[in-house]
Amino acid sequence: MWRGVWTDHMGRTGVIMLGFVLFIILIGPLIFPFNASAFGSSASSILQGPSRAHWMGTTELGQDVFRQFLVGGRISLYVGVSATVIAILLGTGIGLVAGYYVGWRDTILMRVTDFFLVLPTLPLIIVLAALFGQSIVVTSLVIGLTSWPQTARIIRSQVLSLRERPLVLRARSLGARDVRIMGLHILPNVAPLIFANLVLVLSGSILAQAALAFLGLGDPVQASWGTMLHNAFNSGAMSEGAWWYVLTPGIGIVVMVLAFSLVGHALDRVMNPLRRGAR
Amino acid sequence: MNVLNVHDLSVEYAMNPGVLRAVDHVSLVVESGEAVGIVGESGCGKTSLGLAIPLLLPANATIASGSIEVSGEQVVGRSEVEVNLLRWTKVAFIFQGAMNALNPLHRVDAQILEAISAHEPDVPKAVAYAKVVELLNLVGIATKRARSYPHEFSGGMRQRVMIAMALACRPALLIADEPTTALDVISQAQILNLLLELRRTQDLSLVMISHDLAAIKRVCDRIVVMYAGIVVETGTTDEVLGRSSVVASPAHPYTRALIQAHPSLRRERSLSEGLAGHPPDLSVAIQGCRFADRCPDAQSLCREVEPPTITVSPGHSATCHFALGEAS
Amino acid sequence: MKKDVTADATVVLDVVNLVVHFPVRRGWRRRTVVRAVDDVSFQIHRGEIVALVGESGCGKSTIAMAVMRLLVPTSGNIVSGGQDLALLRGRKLRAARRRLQMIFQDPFGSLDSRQRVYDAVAEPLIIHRIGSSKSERDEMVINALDLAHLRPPERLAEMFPHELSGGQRQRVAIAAAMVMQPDLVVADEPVSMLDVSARVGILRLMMDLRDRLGISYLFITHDLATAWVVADRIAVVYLGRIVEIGAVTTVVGAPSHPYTRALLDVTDDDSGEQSLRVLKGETPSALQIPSGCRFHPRCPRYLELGGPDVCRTMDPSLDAVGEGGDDHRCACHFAKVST
Repeated sequence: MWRGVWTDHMGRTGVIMLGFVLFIILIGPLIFPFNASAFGSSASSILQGPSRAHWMGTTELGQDVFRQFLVGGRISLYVGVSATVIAILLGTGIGLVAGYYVGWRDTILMRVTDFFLVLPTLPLIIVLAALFGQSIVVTSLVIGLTSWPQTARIIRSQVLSLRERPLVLRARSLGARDVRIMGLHILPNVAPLIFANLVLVLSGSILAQAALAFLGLGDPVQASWGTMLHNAFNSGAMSEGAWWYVLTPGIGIVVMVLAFSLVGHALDRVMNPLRRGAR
Repeated sequence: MNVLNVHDLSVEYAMNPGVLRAVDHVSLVVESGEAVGIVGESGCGKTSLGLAIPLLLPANATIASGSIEVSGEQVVGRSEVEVNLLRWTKVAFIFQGAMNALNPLHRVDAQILEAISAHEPDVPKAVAYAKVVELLNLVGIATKRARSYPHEFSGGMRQRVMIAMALACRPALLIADEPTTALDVISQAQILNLLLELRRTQDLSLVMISHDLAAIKRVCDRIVVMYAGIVVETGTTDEVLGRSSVVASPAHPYTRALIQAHPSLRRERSLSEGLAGHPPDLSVAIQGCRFADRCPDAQSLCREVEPPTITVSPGHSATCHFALGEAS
Repeated sequence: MKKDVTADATVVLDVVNLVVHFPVRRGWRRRTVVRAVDDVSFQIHRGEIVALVGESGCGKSTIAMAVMRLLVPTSGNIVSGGQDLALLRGRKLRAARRRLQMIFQDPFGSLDSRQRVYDAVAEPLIIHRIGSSKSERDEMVINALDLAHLRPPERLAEMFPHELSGGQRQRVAIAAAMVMQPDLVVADEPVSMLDVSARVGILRLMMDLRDRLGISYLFITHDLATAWVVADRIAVVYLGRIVEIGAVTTVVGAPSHPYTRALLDVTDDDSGEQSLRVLKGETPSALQIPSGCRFHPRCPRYLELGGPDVCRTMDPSLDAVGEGGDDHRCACHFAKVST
């Protein structure tokens, strides 16, 4: 599976990018000693360009951009992963049950899926943020709840075709319970598809989180890259010409999302038997 | 002039790594008006041999050596454009499972019309359509069903449509790969009868690739038995498989085993010994006879020396050290 | 009709008036039925191999699925081991499944490619909680593999399906069926997807197991020649009905129904003449079963007799014919034993 991703050009690029990004944000804060929130000592340290002391310059509060970048990446990743876990668990569970049982269970579950599919992310998070406050938990929840339908549909269609395979008939003829069949026979055969989908959902979640934070709906305390962009715009960094403040988190987001996308698409191409032929 | 002359043909598939020689120095001659059956089990190379003739092999296959002459014209080494002129007009190929290759969105007459127009673009539409109807009638499909869609036909009728399409440009040679495999026994018999009749009335030469000995016995004059990429026996169907008046005298142990393995209503209700094991891995070089592992009569000679092709009687030969009963 | 469930102990399976209809929606409002199995009855005795022979779509596979309760029959009784399987649900059904095992047509699709051979064979034991310890189960699995001539069983138990040939995979399926020591094995076209040289081995194995362990088989096949060498009794199925049933030598040697005759004509590989005597036309769809005798539109006997009304209007019942007593039965108004 991984070899397939590596041989695929896009996949290889994605893996390399991913390795680089993950290294920076996970190991980075341990290596680089800068204090992210330390305010600048004087007015002259506000919005300074890159220098020996501050590799990526400073923010409008004199904080070190690079350090913020390192810490912020973790937040983006954290939200992305949480949202993905919610989406995959829900999506797989519902897709599995709907695809296996068909009939009325399938109909009901699919209508529920449709409902969540059309839920708009933005108004939902605004409402929830107003009710429960802005936090990464709320963000994760919202993104997860609006991402699972896509997974559910993909899993369901695969399960629908799997359940007709002789191996499922055989398991039923042996007297296996439905739960056993779903868990032992269907789920492992759907796993590669889940994994490919997972990576794509992850990249989408990170992007969604960045967008929400940029709009000011993110967690103000835990500054993610999106929040950095938000602050950058609010402090007029663009008009000031403080490109380092905008470009650093911006490129970070692009690289991380792109990396996951490339890996995800390569995985999908490797996993999906239908698309394999097109190569 | 022979309708088909395959000489010393080898077909290789690119594996990762190495190559797999699916057809190994095979020669085959089909005379005008003759029907030759190529029989063997999965992996023996018969389909690759069939696909090679009109150069319809998949992208990862190459013709490693040999020549193929269709109605006197060399095929190997020619450009795609040149070979395309030969396809359908001199040699037509019916793929395995072809009945499922019909476009479900187009009517049957339109699809045959398309085949005609593609190869004879100057023919006026009215004339071409008349030909379509004539072809459908030829294969036993009534004119009023010409405007049906493929899904309205049963498997047997769709196979007839494929045969009609293949005959659209009056080829001298028809190659049919497993033409009856996916059909019911009664439909199979109908198609075989049709092929027999077409041979008679259309002066058609036929190469029929099949794993079904009974079908080949029904339709073909000569039989070519393939195993693990080589021809192990060739001869007239009467001589190799027998007929009510002629006793079967297969010379190769594999042919004997194949005949035994087909249960027959005529024989007693007993099962033959059967063949243990499975065909050899063709990506690995084989020493001696390819069938030695499974042959009930194998001797040490068989595992060391590759067997020669021995003529058992005029027109009948087998690739076995003991084809004539004792080592030669 | 309630079947007397305490009948003959040598009867392993007693199918009575089995009906399987599938509701189908054609167009906006019209609801019709596919009469896949239309009143089928037959028995299988201990150690007997009964073959259901017919073309695809005739309902023979549906009968197999109904017997194995992979679908719920519309009506009828499926009596085995003193219980009517058609009525069982839940735990009782699961318990009844121990005595019935099935072998499928597709050796490549019926085994889970992610399970080792050991797991595939041990699965029924685990499902039914048989064997008090792993080593006990191990022994049962190894025995079953050995029984199926998969040797050495220890090594083969560790392999995955994709490492095996089609014939070997079917042997694994047989081993998995045997490990439960069933009374009846339903084999749905077990050899039709195998190479010809592999078929013999599988058929031979199945018959050996019958001889040694007294297992009965319901053998589904479209090939009359296979049924000829394997079965004790044959039931010929056409459009959801059994049209002829009897001892294999009787049905093949002296067929009574014109459809059986037609099947024999095309299966006989040495009739002497080149061109086969073949039935005209196609089998009608199960959505539009002809009135009266469902075979009459294609029946040579019907034509010979000048198209008698009774064939068009009355559905013939499966009645005894010939001197075989109740043993040889045929569903034809003009049944006669041909020479």
